[in-house]
Amino acid sequence: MVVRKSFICLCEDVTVEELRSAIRRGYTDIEDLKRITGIGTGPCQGKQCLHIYREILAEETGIRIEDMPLTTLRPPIVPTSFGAWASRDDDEEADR
Amino acid sequence: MPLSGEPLDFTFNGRTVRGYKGDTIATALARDGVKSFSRSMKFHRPRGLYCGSGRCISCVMRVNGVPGVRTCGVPLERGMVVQTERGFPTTRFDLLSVFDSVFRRQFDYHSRFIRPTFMTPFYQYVVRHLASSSRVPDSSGAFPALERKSCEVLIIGRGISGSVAQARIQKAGVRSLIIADRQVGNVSAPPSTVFGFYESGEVGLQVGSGLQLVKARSILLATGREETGLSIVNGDIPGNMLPEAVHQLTSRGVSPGARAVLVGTNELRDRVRRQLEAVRSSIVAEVQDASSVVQVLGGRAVRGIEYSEGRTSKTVRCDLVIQLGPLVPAVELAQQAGCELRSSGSFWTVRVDAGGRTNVPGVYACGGVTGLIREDERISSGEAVALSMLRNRGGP
Repeated sequence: MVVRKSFICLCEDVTVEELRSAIRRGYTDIEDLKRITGIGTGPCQGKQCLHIYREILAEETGIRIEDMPLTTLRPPIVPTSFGAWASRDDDEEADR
Repeated sequence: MPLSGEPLDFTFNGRTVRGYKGDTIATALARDGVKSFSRSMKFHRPRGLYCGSGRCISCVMRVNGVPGVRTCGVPLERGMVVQTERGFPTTRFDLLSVFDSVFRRQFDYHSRFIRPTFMTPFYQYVVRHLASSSRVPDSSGAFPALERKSCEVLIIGRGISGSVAQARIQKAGVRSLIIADRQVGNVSAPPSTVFGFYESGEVGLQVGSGLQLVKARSILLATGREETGLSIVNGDIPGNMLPEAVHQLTSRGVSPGARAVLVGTNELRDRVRRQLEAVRSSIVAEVQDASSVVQVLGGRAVRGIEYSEGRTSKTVRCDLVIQLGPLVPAVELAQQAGCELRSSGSFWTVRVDAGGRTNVPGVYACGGVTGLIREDERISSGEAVALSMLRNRGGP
């Protein structure tokens, strides 16, 4: 059996309660909160969770959802292998 | 549904399993009755095939000695060696799932495992094993060197609006064209998946095991929308699926479950219904309001669902819960490209003019990512953007 849990972020195993408790501890900035909980930093890079994340943050802080910013979504947005990056041998890299 | 295709035998945890040509590793395993594919990162909860489109990591396994492979996005090959890799000692019987019981609400690694400090090396050892049981690849593998390419038009996304635009542009005689997938789960050969839009204006593509940086004179973002799940209690255990997983399984004649419950609602509902019918899965309940779900029941697999109907609570026995969460515009690449985004309720969409032009010269968008929902509108946006791109040929 598993213990009753509801998740926001399946990649980083972040529960709804974990997010709410972090917001109540004062992490109300969307970028800070992402760093403290790990939401959106897993292999899916927020594809499944960002909208729920923004909704809960808006609800807890009283900010209108329309005014809630989007986090910065950096590349790579899908996992790439280290081996492929390590094999790059173009001139630009050599010059650095 | 009759199966076509030649049989392909492979091994799963040392046992020989028969799949068929056209299967992904995940569909072959599901046909064989495998439910537990992996374990979650912190709580070591059982996870199974969930998104079916290469986004989540619920189906990752070690394949031919390479760890962390999403089995839903890899075409099956004869003789493949597939192993579960999460959990101690095994994925099926994982002692580390004790973390699920100990940390009943959350597991905050910023406040746990930090004192006393002399224990740090031990804690690191434990946490490292908790987070992943993956071992490094058997061999370092061969990776082609990074390639730089240029082309006239790059289309990202093979959905309806992207395909319409592609057809128009090709018909107009544009030869220098690259078409890329937005999703990993698309196993159409040869898959080339976009992983980023860089400040240099180059777009990163993953093609097979190699990487490419593509510089295109004009780029069309037809990245569409993402399926999402619902934050329902135990909505993560094996037997919870998104429509794309249902699609992947049923298109291979594999039944995702005998008794299905649909939770939430989105435009894919009718497609899901048809697909379930085709493999003779019965829909035993539909719970449109996800907030009325009390919990999904089960552990290593879904066994039922409890939800409230008015004042009464109902429990229905089922082995499949299909989550129909909102379809969210996939704006990552647009944001990286510097396109102006518009907030519309819970989502963001890319702002375009009537010709599909974004505020970034040479970058266009159409379809679901611009906020269009109706199919006819997405089709006509694909046509409009193609015309506008052709008109502006030769310079952004």
